[in-house]
Amino acid sequence: MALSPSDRALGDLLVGRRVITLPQLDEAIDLAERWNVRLGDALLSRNWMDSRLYYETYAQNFDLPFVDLIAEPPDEELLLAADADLYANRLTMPWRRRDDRLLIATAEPGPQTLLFARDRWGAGIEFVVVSKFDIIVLLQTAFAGTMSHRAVFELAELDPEMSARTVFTAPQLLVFYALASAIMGGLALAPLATLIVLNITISIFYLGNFVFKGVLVSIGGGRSAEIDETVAVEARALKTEDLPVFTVLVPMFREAAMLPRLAQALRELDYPLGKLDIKIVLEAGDAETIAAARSLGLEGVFEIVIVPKSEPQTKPKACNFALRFARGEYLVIYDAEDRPEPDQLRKVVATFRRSPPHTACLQCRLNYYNADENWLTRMFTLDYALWFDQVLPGLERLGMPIPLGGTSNHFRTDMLRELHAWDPFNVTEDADLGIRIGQKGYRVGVVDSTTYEEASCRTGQWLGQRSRWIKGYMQTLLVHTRRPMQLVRNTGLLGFLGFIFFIGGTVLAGLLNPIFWVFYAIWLAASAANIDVIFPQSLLFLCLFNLLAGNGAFTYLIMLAPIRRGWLGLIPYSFTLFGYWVLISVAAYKALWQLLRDPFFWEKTPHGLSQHAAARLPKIGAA
Amino acid sequence: MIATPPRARAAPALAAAPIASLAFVGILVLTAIAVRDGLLGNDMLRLWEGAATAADGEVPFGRVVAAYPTLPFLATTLLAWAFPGTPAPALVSAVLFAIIAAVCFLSFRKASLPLPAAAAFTMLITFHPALLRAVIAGPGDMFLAAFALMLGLALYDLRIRSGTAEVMHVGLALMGLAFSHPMGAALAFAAMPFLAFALRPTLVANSALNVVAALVFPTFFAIGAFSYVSWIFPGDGWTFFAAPAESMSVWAVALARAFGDRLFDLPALDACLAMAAALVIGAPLVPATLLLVRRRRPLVAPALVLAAAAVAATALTIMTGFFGDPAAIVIVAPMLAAAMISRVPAVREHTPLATALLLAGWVGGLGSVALADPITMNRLQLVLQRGDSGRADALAAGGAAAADTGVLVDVDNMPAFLLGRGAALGILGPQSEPFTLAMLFRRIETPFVAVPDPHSLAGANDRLDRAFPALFRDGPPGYRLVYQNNTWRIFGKTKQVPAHKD
Repeated sequence: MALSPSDRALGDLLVGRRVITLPQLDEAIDLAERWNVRLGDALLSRNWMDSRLYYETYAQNFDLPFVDLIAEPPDEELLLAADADLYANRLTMPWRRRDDRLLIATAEPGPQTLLFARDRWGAGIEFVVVSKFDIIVLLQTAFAGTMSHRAVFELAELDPEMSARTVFTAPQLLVFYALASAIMGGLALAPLATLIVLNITISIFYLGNFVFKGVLVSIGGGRSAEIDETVAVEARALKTEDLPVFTVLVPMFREAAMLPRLAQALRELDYPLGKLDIKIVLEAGDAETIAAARSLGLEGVFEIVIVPKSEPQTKPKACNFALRFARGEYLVIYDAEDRPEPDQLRKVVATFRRSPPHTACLQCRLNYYNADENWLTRMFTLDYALWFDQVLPGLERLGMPIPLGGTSNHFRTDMLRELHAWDPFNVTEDADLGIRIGQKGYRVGVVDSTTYEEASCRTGQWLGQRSRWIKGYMQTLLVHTRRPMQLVRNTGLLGFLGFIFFIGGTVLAGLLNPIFWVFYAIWLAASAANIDVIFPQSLLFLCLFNLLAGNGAFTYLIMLAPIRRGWLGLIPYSFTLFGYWVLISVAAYKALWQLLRDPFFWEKTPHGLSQHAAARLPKIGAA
Repeated sequence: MIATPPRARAAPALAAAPIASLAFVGILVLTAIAVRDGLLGNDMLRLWEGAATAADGEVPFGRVVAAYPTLPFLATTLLAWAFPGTPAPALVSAVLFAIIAAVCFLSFRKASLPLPAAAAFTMLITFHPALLRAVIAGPGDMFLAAFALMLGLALYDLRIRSGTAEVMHVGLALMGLAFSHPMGAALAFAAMPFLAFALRPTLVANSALNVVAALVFPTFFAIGAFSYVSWIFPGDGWTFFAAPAESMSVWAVALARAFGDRLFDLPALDACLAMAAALVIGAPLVPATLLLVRRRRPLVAPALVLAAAAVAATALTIMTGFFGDPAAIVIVAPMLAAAMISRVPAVREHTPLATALLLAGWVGGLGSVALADPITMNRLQLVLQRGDSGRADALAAGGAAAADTGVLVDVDNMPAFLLGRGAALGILGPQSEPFTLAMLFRRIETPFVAVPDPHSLAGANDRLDRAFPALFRDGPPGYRLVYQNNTWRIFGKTKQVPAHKD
């Protein structure tokens, strides 16, 4: 699209004031026309000038005064907390009153803003130009309390049934109490029968769990490659000028060292930088990362959002806070160590365009770039390959609710806001949101594009991360089973069973496995002397079947997982799955302990510990 | 991703319903005729007897869960338990037959064959003499057929894509074969060395061994698990390994007779040649198609792998003496033809030629069954000439004992007795305590005892006849004759026998 006359004038002015050079202007014009963005967006996507200089010139171009919003803050009485989202979205806000006229501060002067402001504040207005960065900083400080409160409590206050703020509801406690009483009573009155009933129940659950996962892998593994190839072609064919603005949220905490690599990974995305709305989301207490981010001198498309201190200090709270400033039609979350495949955003746009309108989110595949670092990273890679390459496509094909992975979930921003975004009290807010999307009648899809992450390579680090995940699954299970019939109605019987086996199965298997291992060991050692009574022959067979078929099936599923990516060297490691299960069980008990003692504690996973540089990524990806 | 609406997915599956129903009914009628004329195989009768006994709770649990061949036994037992009195093995076979018909029809349609051609091809494949032979032989052979078809299709898919689902399907097909039929186990083992040839070259170059490990893991793990369960629940487990089936020697003799004399000094080589010939004449479509596409390795390799596995399984059987007789392998011919119709575009590009070859294969199938399964052919000949009176007598004797409870009889020797009776409850067979005690103490105290003429074919192996040589002639002391026919006598207890003084 050809540049507007005012943008052409702005370009001349910038060159005239020697803010940029003529070749830079030519390049910026070329970019703006190709991307179908304003000249300013193209210029800010390049690190050619100080943004303040740009906005001063911008103001001069419109013959409007420039105001340093930080030095001359707006009249607080004019600002409405309820309009904070509007100010952030429009980059326009009331500033001060002068001679009965309202002065409007805007970072985007022009006809559209004029129409919007007249509609909002009436005809008696005048404009001043400010930097968009100043508006964002000002909003963060002016509305820190309100926005922080919304970030924490919006879901809990507007849709309390869906919030994990209350860990156990009264009816749930009653059910647990009744169940425990029934078991204790049964053990006192008819111990044998009670143990047999318990045994049968658990055995049936185990059986259902591995049959369900086997079906998912079979269905997920059979996902048509043609669809993925079609999406890839459509993604490449998308015209750059038609691409929408995409918000990228990158919540970080004490990860200053990751910043340069992250910025580089985002620059390498095959998406016009001028259409990226990147928010580096940092905690107010994390001075080191804040200083590092500011000192990097990132391009103007990178914005820093500082989340004020409040409890719980979790990633979802930070994301909720940053969501208020999102201006993209779509929004994605990346972690600091993420390396998305360059065409990911294009594929997401192409997939959204061919998806049903009620698709609220698309989940990309996740995997690790340090898979071959040690045994743990290999097993973790197998685990992820099974999960994202096989199981999630299976859930998608069966139309079941999909628990989202931690990053690379792409949302329609309006739908995300409508859903009240993430639950800051849930430590796997992503999984919870995926289920909530299903509960609210929306859909999650899967995209064949991978984001490479850093696998936890130390046992302690891994246990911390996994125990948080399992604790979050426990919270998710508790939240969404508060109204089981509603869950059945909203997701269908298959969806309900999928949720129970998928979320509940993961939690319960971790907790129950050690009990059965101990039973089995005693049974073997004692030659079945005293345990046979609680294992009648038919039950013994069912348990043996579960033990053998379950172990065999899960080992096999894990064995199949790396085939899709051609990482065949990982196949022999599937035989060591038992060791990995032991670790999962340790994490499960840690998670249970934390759920009872400190349910909202977010155990941060430190990154950057891997000795494998991200440079290894192409090698693994190409294998 | 726009998911295909469930209704759209269900439509093609429903399209197979008429042809599957037709196949189901047709095969039930044929099976009824086979039952009436005594054409059923011994394996079928033994399975029928075992399943009926197990369904009536007359078999220890351990023997049920550790029975082999596992899939046909469990399927038949479950059906017999759920619907007592029904001809469970025939129903299982008919259901599998209908499933095979449906799968063939659907995959032919998916391969863009026109409806009439797909229907005609389905009929020619499913009513192929080798598959009809499998129906008569019993659920084990039908499971073998179903998994052979699955293996054939999966091998083609594996060569094309080698993705997770394809590896999984090949692995599960091999495991299914191993637990369907002893010859299925032979086929699964024999296929393993050839599997690498069915992989995409990129995978072979990357790490063929690891992929093959993923292909064979389910089979080996399941075998290990089954052995462990057999150890925990002592059952019949792997007895077919310990005692090579006598049917194999009968088969070898019959085969030698068919050839006039041995072709070579190596029986395994003779058998391989016979099986290879049976496959070729039973499915001429396969070599013809291979010739057509000989330069396209992805279309050639899977068929060669399955055919080579079938021949190698025959050799394995003859050389080891395990697995029984290799006659069941002949089913690979029509199943491989079905896989090729589904996966090789050249077949649908030459529909008239393919039809002619399938027709030739149907006629040739008669010859291939005659060549590969001389035992069944002998039985057929016998039935056509004068009928199988021994089996009919056993059926009649069983019917006469239908209302009696506590009948001591060696049903393992003549399962037709149980079938004639209709239920195992009330039968005191070799697995029961009274039978064991009778053999141990040489004393019969049960309300009834049924015994065949020791001079008949049935009596030659009857354990009661052997233990009590005068039983058929005189009956036990204190018993009177309540029924007799040409072969069988049933004695009923008339008074209390004095206690033994030993």
